[in-house]
Amino acid sequence: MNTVSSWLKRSARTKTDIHTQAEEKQQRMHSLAASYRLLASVQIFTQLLLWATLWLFEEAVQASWQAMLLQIAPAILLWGLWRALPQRRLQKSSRWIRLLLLPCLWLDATVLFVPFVQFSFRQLLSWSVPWVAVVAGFIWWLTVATSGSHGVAFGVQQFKWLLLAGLALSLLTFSSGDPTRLFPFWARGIPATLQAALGGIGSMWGVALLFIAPRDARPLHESDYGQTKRGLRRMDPSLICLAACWLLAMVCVFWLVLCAPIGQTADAGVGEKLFVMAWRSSGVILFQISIMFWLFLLPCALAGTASFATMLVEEAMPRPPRALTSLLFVLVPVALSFLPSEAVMQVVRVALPWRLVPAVLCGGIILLVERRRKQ
Amino acid sequence: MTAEASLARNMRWFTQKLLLEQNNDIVKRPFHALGLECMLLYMEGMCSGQLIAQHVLRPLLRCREKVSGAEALTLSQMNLLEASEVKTETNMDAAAEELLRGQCLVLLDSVKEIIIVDARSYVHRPVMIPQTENVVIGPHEAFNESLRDNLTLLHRKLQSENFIVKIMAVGQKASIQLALCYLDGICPADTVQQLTQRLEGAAVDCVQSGGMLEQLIEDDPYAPLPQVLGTERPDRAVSFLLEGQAVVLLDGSPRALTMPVSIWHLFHAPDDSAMRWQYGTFMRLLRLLGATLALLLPAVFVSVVIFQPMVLPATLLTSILESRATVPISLFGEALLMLTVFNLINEAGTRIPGLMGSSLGLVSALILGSAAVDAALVSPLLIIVVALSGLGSYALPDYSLSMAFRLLQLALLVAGGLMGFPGVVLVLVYTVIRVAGMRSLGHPFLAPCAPARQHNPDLVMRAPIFRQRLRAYLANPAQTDRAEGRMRRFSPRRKEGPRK
Repeated sequence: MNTVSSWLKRSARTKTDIHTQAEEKQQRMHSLAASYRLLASVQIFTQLLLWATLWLFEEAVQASWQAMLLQIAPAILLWGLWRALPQRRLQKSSRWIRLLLLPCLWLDATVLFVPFVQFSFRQLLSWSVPWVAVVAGFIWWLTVATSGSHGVAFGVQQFKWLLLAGLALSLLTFSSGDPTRLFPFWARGIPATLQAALGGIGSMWGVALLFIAPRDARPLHESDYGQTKRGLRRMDPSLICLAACWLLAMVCVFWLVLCAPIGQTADAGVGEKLFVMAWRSSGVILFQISIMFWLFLLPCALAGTASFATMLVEEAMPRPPRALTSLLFVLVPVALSFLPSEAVMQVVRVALPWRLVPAVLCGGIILLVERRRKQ
Repeated sequence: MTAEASLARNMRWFTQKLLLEQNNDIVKRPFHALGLECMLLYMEGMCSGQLIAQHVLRPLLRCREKVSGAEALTLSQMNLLEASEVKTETNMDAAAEELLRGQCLVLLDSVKEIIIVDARSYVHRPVMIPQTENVVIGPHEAFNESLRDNLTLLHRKLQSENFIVKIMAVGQKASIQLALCYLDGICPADTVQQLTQRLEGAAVDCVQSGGMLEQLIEDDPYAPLPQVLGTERPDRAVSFLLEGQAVVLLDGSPRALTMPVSIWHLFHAPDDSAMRWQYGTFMRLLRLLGATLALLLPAVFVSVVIFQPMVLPATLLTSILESRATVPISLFGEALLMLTVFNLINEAGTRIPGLMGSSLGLVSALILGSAAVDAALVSPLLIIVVALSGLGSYALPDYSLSMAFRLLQLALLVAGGLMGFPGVVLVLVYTVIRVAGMRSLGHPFLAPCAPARQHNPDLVMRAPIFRQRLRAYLANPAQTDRAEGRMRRFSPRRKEGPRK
């Protein structure tokens, strides 16, 4: 119990009293890092949840949770690779290399924006007018362009309880689940499970985001969190975030397997599929809460993708203004949302697993470059 | 321009600079004293004629000695002039500014310096009760328009050797005095330096009010919320000083401007700390509820009824639809109309003086409301919604925050009316992220929540005073503890002496 509480304290790292200017500066850095960790966690969790809801569940119901379980392996590998990077400010060439991650962010943004428009405007309001995508895209751009340097991270932090509460309330319908769906335990066999897992392997690329955000270097005091004995290894806050995202997504996938109606969403549209979490809700309030959960989750994650993209570009090329960078980033998903959504999502789906490749490549190259610099 | 030894030349300069031939408000009183030609200059109405006659003119005129140059200056300053504050100035521009601020100038022939005598006495409002920050428990004094009185109020409440007051001037054509106040050691040097830079950088012809100054020094003029907190209460200003913030008092303005602040400061009322913690917490929760109602109620109501009516219970939905059956305009238009009328009544009530204002508000609300319902222009339920959101906005303790909420309320209503819940959520997410990106004197606006910083349990829930050991994160890190040791050094159940 002590270890768990020390992990939590360590991930917050802000409650410690401070008495000097240096400690105060360090606390500011820790708080900033914590905010960005949360933002990156929202990205990872949303991508996992979207993958499970839009593609995994309908095709491999019984293999879903095993496939989800397997996702932790690439995530840990990626975490290890990025963890090995030095915590100091990267040199300029490494900052340019990080731009390799931009296509991943674009894919993320497309996967978020198209369903958001479909779900909110086409599904909830039965509108098919194209200007809603422009309006939503404009507000998305405006949010990022006017949010200042860390506004998105701090702002999304405000919604964390709302999202968690929505999720928890939505999962209240667990009790109405059908446990027989879990059997046979290994579903359609190991190859089929592996195949299902491979489809979502790219969802874990967001682990890299945990490391491109500001990172906290060391504890405030030597005695911090501090019942831990000298020399004992402590868990990294980014690993706690990763584990938390994965666990939450696991719970959601279990819920999908147990509760969601099989077969009814096979031919459904993108927006329609997002209703899947609400379909078995026992009351109208829970149904609405599930909808509100998606309504808040998607814009928060959208703002996060644009914010991370802007941060990457700003660090590599400080000259272009934030408004222009974010506008160029937002334009692509908004333009894609004008195409038939099913076609876009089918094409995007093929590319999604490959998000892991730039994430690994980028981490590896930067590691080599920084090692060579050190030598 | 430096003062010269010739009275005639100095007077020629003053005549040109202050347009003395045209300006009848500046009194010129030539006289002979100490064997020299002398001149007395002061602004009519800004100085006390009696004080000048008794303590400046009489001693000089009665003196029989004949001296000149530095000797005359020393004799006048050290022996003759009886005012409490007498200083000298060689710079003619500075002397002219002092004259315009109400000081009395004494010019002696053959003396290269100008004597400045403080004989200020002008009409101003006395210390009265606060107009916009009323409290039930707590002091009832408010700042007035006199900088000197306001500083006195602060000095009386904060008797500390660390209380520093820096007098500065702002305005290029007509400069106004202001005082930058802070607690040395508790307020970080960086805060003082930044604020001084901003005050010095406010390059306008004249600053007429605290509100104008606020707009000149705030971080983000396009942000939806105010980043400077204005208070008319000396006790509140003192509490900010003790938290490590800086306070700016402007001559002619009854509001003290505080920087840096966070959004939580805007939500806190002056008597929160004066009340017991349970009551304070309850009031804060009520206020938070009011803020939520003010911001979201009209937008959510319109969104639900227009786009998501299935959320409502059947009986409520039926009653809403029945009440709207005879209304000729859409619900969105109706809500927009009602909010506009509400804001109009509010504005008219504010402009009309005293009791008439509140009467007008009451009469407008009653007569217009019932007439609109009778004429089937609006539905009664919408009137309840608008009235509740209006009440919520009045519960906000800061007037600027209340105004910001009213504007955001309209933006959310438009989003909700046109795009339903998705629109409301998009605008809400935008607003929160925009506010999260705001800064006040460089400090994040949502701190200590985002980014998390050390703080007392005093944001929404207010813990007992003795649990609030820490100063705000805005204070100097070396002075974060409010007291050494326990803050309640006794046990009500024990009979022995105080505990350490």
